[in-house]
Amino acid sequence: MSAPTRAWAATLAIALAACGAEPIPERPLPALDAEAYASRVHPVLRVSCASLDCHGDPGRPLRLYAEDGLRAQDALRGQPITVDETRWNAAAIAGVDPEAVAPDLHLALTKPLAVAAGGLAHGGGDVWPDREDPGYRCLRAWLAGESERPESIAACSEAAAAVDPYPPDAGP
Amino acid sequence: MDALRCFALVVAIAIGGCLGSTPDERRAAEIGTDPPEGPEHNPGNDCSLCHDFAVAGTVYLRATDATGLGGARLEITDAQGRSFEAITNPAGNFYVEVESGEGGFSVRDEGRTELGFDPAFPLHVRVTHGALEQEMVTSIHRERACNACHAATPGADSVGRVYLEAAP
Repeated sequence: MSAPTRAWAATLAIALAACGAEPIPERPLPALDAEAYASRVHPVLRVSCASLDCHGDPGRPLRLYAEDGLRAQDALRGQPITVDETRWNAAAIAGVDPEAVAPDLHLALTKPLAVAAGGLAHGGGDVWPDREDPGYRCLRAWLAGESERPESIAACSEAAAAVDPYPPDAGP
Repeated sequence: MDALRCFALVVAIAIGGCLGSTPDERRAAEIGTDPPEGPEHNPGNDCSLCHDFAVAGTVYLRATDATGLGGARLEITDAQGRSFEAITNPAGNFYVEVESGEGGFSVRDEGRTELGFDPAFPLHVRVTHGALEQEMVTSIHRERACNACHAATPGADSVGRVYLEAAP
């Protein structure tokens, strides 16, 4: 298949998918809770998004600090993540789409979501295959102010376990 | 006075721009003006400053060692589950080059691996040397030069060298 044909087919597929999708109702986002971000969301994004060659790169629009990624100061290398760093992460996520009209339309969700599932093109690829992915549900719950719901806590725990570089049985 | 200050600022910026470093000057500052040739040169430096490798880097026995570790084996798995290997040369360097689209890989001498595909990111890496083994805790999402993130001195934007053993 030639490149123009492939491009046209991709455009048509996206258009059809968009036409067939349920419209997402507008819903103002609450003030984002940095404490909930630190406890629920950071363990997920720490590994899947915040590596030094992705959002741990200070030159990228969404800059994230993480234990194994970018630190706010040299002296923090090897130290646990700080309250300030997670607070700045929360602010950075809010800042990528300050005028989002609904959690599901927030760029922090639509960029890493697979294009086939209604997401946008993302240089880091399709992080979440669909909206049922626990990572998506975890971040969505935080954006919606629903992080402390039992189903949200479960989603965050499941997503964090899937990417945890230090699982309990991994040894020292 | 404001106009004078503005003029002085513009002149300062212009002069600064003229004196600013070019890519060649930055490269020279990083690796020296007369780098040696060959696959053992510039261990620990960011290979991508001069080369276009699929993946490349330097392995050390310990994080503070002055010289790299030869004979370390890297097992790299790409996003499509394709694995390939590289073995470091005496300087600790390894480099992987895409040679064809035929699949597979071939470990050559002097730290070189020929690859039959362009690896799909993210990559997962395991490094071994004898009984020593380290698995990279995060994935490589786009950076092909390991030493770009694994600079010699750990700091805000570097996790330090790739090493296999903690200091005694």
